[in-house]
Amino acid sequence: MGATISMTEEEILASAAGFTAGLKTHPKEVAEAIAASRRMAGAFTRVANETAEPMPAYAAPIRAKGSRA
Amino acid sequence: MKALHELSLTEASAGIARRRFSPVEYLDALHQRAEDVGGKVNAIVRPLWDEAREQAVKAGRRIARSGPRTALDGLPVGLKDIIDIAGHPTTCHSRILLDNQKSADAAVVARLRAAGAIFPAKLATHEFAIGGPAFDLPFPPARNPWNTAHHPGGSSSGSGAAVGANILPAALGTDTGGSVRHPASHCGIVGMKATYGLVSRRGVFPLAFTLDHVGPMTRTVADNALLLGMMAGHDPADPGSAAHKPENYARQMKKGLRGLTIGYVRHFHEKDQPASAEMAAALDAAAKLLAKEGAKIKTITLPSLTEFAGVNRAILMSEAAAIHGKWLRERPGDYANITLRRLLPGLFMRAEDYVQAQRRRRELVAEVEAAFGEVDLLLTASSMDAACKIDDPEAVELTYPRQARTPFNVTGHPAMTMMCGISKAEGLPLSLQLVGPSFGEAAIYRAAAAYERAAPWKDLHPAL
Repeated sequence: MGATISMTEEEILASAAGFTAGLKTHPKEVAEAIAASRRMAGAFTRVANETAEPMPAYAAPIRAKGSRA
Repeated sequence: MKALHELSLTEASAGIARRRFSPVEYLDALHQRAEDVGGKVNAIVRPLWDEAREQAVKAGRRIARSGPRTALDGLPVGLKDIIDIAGHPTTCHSRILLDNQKSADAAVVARLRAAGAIFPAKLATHEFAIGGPAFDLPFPPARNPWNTAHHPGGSSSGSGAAVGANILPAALGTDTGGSVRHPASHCGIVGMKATYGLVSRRGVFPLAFTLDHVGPMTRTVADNALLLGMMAGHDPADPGSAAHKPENYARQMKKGLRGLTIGYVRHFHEKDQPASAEMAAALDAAAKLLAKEGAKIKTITLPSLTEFAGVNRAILMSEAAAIHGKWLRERPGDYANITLRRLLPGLFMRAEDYVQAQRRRRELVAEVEAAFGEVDLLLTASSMDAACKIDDPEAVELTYPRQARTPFNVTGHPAMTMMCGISKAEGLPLSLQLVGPSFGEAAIYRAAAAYERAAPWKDLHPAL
């Protein structure tokens, strides 16, 4: 059995965000940011249609002048 | 008779064309004004008066020889310091970019330069157009010219303060969640966020790609229409630029209001974010005056401010994190603390939330578009309160939700703010917002010009 590593939720999220070093210097700001990101993610109505296209729609590039295609 | 520094862009243009004074005399008067009051409002972070004077001398010779190139020839325009000008750094009011020397003009600066405009100053901003007002940066925050203890609004804070204080007749700002219209509202001037893509963003430091706009800030509606006309135009090198032909935005300004139907979005300031009594009364009085001048006023309901704000924040934070991620991870201590705290949530947003916000955005756009099937323009609040004290962080934080500007960054519709009263308690400007259908800027200027003519606010200026 492999060794287990004990991490707090903040450490896990900071690690996933590439902010491990920043967590050590700015722990209060990281805690606030995680809470704020959760509030923001829940601050608008989710579109009911699972297949709805988001904005802005992707568009294929316009063929450049001199293109061989 | 007005002093030279008090002239609007249009008045100065006429004075120069009639040889009543030269571009150099006009610029010198503004420079003197900056010397006299600039230290009170901290609008300028990088003065470029000497370089501008050389340009003014050349413009004066050119005008004497063959007349003005355009109505902007020889006239000064300030630049928010996230907009590039060749030969100078774009600092974004941040220690991270103190040495960010630029070799080319932003596309919008190049357009104005070709029209003959000159650029005497880079102007204060909230750091990276998001973190401010902050007191732990290399430059002090700009202050409100109506009362220097108060917030000038942001993030184009120096642009609002410089124009409001008669240091410059016009300036450019940028607007991602209301950052042209907020300082315009608090400094008692006119600020336009045109339709998304009408003005090129190339050479402007981004905050959020799909929400960013560059906009003109002036003391009069006519000046604003003039400046936008010189700024607008398709730029194939800006992926968001619209293939829309530039227009004469002033062409309808004398038409008056008869025949226009204006939708009054009351719930923004009556229910969603109840405005101060003075602001609500000023908005009702503006609606009455617009009706008296010939417009038909109709109550319109849109989705709630909370919905628009939620979508704006999720998109803004996610896109800004893609821009700032490297610096946030490697040098978080080099941001002002307020900037760090505003940007950091973006690192923790999920990709799914970003896409969900962009999905909801499409619905919100459709709902605002549907309103323009019933009315020609919308009248809404801009800020729910007059400017708060600049050193009251809790009150400053409240300026973000207590406003109705963000909806039109989400939808991309053109929106303009202007003065509609004065708060009795503190003598600070109150403001309204006019919103048009996509590329409907000319109709906004038509209504705004009619309101400006009929209302008593245009001759009020701060006593610095």
